[in-house]
Amino acid sequence: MRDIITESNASVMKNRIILPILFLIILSAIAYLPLVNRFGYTHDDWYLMYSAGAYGPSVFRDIFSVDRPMRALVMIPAYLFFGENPLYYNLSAYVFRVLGALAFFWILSLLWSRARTATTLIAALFVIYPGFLSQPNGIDYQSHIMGLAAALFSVALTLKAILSDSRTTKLGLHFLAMLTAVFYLGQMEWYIGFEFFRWMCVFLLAARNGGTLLHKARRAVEWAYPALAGPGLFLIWRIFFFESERGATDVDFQLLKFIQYPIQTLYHWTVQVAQDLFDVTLAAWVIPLAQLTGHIQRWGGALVILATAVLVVWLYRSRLGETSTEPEQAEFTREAFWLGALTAIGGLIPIAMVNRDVLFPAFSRYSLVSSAGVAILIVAALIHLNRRTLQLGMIAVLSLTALLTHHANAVKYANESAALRNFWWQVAWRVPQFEKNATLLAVYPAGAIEEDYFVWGPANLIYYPEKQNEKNIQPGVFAALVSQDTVNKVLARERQEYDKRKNIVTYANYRNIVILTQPTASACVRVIDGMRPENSLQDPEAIRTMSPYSEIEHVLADEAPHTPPEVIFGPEPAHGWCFFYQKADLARQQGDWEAVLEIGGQAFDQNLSPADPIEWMPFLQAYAATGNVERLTELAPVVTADPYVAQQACGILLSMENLSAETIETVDSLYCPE
Amino acid sequence: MLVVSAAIYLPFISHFGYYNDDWYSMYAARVNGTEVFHEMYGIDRPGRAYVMIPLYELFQGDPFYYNISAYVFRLAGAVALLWLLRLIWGERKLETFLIAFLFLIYPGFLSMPNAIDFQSHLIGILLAFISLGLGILATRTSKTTNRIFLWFGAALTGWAYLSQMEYYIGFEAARLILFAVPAWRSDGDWKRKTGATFFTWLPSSIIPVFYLIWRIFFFQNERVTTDAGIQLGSLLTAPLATLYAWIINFTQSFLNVTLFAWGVPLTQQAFPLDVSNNMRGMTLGVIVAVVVLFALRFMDKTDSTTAESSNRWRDEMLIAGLAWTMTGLIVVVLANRVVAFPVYSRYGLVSAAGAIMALVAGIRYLSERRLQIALVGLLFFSSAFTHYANGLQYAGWTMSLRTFWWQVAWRVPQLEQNASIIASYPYSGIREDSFVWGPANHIYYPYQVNPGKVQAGVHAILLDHNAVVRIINRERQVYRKHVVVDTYRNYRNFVIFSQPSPQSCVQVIDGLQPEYSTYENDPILVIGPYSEVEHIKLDEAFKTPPEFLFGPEPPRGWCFYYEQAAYERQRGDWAAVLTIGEQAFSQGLAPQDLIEWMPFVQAYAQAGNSDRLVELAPDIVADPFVARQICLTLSNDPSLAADIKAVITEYYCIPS
Repeated sequence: MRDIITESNASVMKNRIILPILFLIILSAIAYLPLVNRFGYTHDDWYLMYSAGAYGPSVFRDIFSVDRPMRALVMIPAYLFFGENPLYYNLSAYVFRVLGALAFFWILSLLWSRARTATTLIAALFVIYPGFLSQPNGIDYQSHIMGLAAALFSVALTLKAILSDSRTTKLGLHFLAMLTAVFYLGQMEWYIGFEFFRWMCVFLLAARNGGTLLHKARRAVEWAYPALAGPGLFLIWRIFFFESERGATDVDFQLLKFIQYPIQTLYHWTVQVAQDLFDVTLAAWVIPLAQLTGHIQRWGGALVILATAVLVVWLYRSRLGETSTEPEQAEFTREAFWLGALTAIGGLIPIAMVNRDVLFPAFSRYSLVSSAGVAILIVAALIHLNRRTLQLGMIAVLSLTALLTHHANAVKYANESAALRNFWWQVAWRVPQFEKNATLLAVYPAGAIEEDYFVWGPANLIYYPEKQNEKNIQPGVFAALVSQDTVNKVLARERQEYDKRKNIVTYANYRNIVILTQPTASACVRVIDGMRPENSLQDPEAIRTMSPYSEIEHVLADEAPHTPPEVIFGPEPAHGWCFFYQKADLARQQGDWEAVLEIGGQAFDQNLSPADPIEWMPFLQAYAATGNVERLTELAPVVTADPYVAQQACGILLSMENLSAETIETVDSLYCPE
Repeated sequence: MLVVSAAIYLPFISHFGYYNDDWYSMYAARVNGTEVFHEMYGIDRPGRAYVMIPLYELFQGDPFYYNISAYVFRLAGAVALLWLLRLIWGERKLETFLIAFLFLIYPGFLSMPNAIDFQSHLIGILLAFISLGLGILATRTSKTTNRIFLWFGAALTGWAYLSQMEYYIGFEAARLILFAVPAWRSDGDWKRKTGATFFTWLPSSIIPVFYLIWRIFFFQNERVTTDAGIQLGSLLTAPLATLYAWIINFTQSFLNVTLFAWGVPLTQQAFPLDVSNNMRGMTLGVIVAVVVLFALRFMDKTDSTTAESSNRWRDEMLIAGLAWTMTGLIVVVLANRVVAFPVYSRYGLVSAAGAIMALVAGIRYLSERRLQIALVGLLFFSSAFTHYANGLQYAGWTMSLRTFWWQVAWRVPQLEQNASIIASYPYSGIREDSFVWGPANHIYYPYQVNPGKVQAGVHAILLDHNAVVRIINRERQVYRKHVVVDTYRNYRNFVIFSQPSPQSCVQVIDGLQPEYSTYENDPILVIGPYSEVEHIKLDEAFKTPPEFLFGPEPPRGWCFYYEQAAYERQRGDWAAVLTIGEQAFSQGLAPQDLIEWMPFVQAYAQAGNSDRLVELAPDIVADPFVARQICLTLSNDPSLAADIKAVITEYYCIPS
């Protein structure tokens, strides 16, 4: 590489450090910041933030005591600083992601001080690595990202200590390396793969002094043995003192399989590492983007193309891959290749050993440790390409892929946050209060509901934001996933189910459910009344099956309404059709047909109407109850355009009591099938 | 190439059956004769009939022979490609061999086991390479007679391959690119070279030109996906959105064909395999990689005796390969299609050879020889492992489908004509209603039911959200001509066959007394009450599924006895149910899906055998979903004695 060659003067040196740092900050900002203010709570954030809000931030000690107690060291101060606002957590996550990249750049600079272009490119690929998709999940991933930065700083400090001449400095740096090692392992025990990276780096430095493999290894240990202290202390505590209650983080539990079936387990681990290696090196650049293509926005595409063009121009000027001497380049590529490959593999071994694997998008976090190795490996491979245009072309493809992936991922998160906020605002308009201990079943229009707390989290933040139980962390209302298992349990009328996860106690009750469904983004949220179920054409079949069991009495219609906290759910949305629908539906539950008519009048005056015809139901019932045959006749063509809705309208309207003969005749002739 | 491709493609060849379009095409040919292929392909690709008719006459619809034939054509295609490439880069023995070899085992094409329908694709590829080769030979021959013969041969094979697949017209761009390579080697400026390329190509231009004239002005296309006018029409109605979609589709397809074909199918197909198949697949991959690397090393030594005149071939191969890839994809993208794995992998076939040329050239650009070897080894490993997993998956589908229909044959003597079936296979994958009515008609109506027409004897409803809503709405019969087969699916007139999990038996849902497995999917739960078992004709003779398609009768395990018992229950013969039960239990057989106890539990209840009801209760109530169904069904059965109802209430009902 041309820039391995010389470092002529101080100002050039300064530029050679400041410019890459600025470049990394700007590149990562393009990848992660454009939609940062639109990310809300997601995934585990729901139970974490509910618990902290209701029981105080010290609750993190209880929650993390089951698997990673030291995460409380991050989450308690973070909550004290940022409160409930997701924006601050996401900004903080970005800052630590950049700090991690800078620490990585520092490591690379210590290893190859003259290969500035290559090391900058490696750090750039690391910071925009598209295999890690949880960056917008800034609250829960605070620990992951802070741990990542700490791990890389720890490695850098070890290398700096080795290269330092002063004994005091050496000691101080080793001590700091130990502290940061304990800290990062405390955040994520599977980050222990970074120890492979640390020792590979040390070995690489030691190997430069020559000798046999044994000599080099011995020299590496002599230089860096204090670095064993941090992980050593952590492992002693983890194996001998700490009792993990969670299978995935329990060392004994995970190793038991190995003791019982050593050969099969070893084979399984080997295959898993091989498959994961493929995932982190190649699939990470393809699969996530293929999964997210539909979320790419034109402005995002333009921004990404522009950023890539700048990157390619910079690399063109920097002349990547050229050196003053052939041996120097060969030495760099050889070292980088082995360091990258072994780091990528080493980062995956602890993950395979706890029977986890890299999977996009759900388990993308497991690619984090290896991503450092992958970035090094890719640049080493690129330098092997003899054609400059091919090199630049490949870098452009990598940059485009990575930045587009992060853009699309951010759009997806932002859209899901918006959809979820809208959902709960509608619930707040519709439901003044949920009965305590009711079980909610929800269908969101966007984003999968993977855990019950995706539903009880927001519900409790609105309806039961205060402490509910003196002994346990326990929410006020519970939830169950809409799944085949739940359908079976609901149909079998199964009873309350006790569950304690992360010290949070819930009691989902399959005889005590209320269904909230918003099958599409254009539809409104509907609270299903099992006595008179109304289903949209778009409702999932599981909802259709369980609808008769949904108990509307868990909606306490006469309580004072609750307003969703703005910091979590955003400001109240404009009052469109769904606002009036929810208010009318609430009035219907209260039996106040006059109110339904009045609300309908307000909506229709504004030319509002439903996108989903099932939302006509409260109004149709009100017209039927008040004998407004004219309006029923007027609406019939609109409603019967959807035979499925018409069929339900027919059944529900004719089952109403005290209808006039004329109304019955109108309904029968206009809404009921022949 | 022969040995390695046989190891990759042949292991499961006897386990493949009908897939996708095979169901309607083979049914139509079986009941109406091979002339039906003219009508079938007359709507979009008339030339395909001239391939399918002789093949059907030869193979009589047996999928095994079609798979052998597909393998032979695939191999022949690769050999033709090798010949073609050596006409251009005769000195680069190793690279041309590597390209042809990688093309032969290209993991981006996953439809090899779907051999019946893809016969035309593979023959088309072979003919295309022969046509391109003959075209190049024609330009080199000085003797006019030979030139005319070669040129004539190129034209004939050219039209022949285009008659199989119109989107193969991308090969005509490849022809132009291959003509350009020698032209660009000569001296002179780019204008002169372009002119030389053009004039060399000019005689061959009659191939695409005549074909397009026929296709656009004379041929009446009835199929939307192959109608150029309709496909390009979107550009006029929404130009910006269409252009944007084309760019995205092109980029995605380009990356898929060139790079991701070597990885994405591997992750989709191979990684989820169970441990034993994973080991087998990996072992095959490693053996293939080692054998190939050994062979390549030998070739490389032989090659190195030839002095490397220049490195220009790498530039040529890279540029020509990329251009071939891009032009091959343009036609696909303009037809609003995209190369996607695994379903639309076929659209990458035209570009695959070009993409591999570029890949091999790219590998040869690497300065580190060990890296080159490692990459080539990885490519072969990935291909072998991917095809192993792909073959296993196809074989698994066939096995599962055969088991399903054998169980139906045990349960259902005959289906009422014009009834509709809703089926739920344990591995899903029912994308068309023909996947259900196809096998059903091969068993129950393997003859012409309506003179002068190709009409299915029984029809099928694809179980999706739309069907659920139509059933609830009690919608009426819908006519659909499935290319040549007339079908009349009826949402008021159907019976459900469901095998909710691989360990379950096929369960015929009776809407009057629906019983559902714990594993049953939600749509079946919703529409179960509408299923009408009266479409099963109980007094007819049982039909035997044809062995060439459904294999020999499987061993008679639990499911045989369950199906027979369910049949007797429908006949109301409780004594027969008890006898069948004893036969099964005496062999130590028992259901893995607890709902399958139902016919026997009902028979015990009818026979007043409370001891057996009590004995079975602990096993059954382990699944509250099943227990509740037994509780509700038997508690409400007026024919049962009070003491039996008391046993049911005590042992099967969960207190409120």
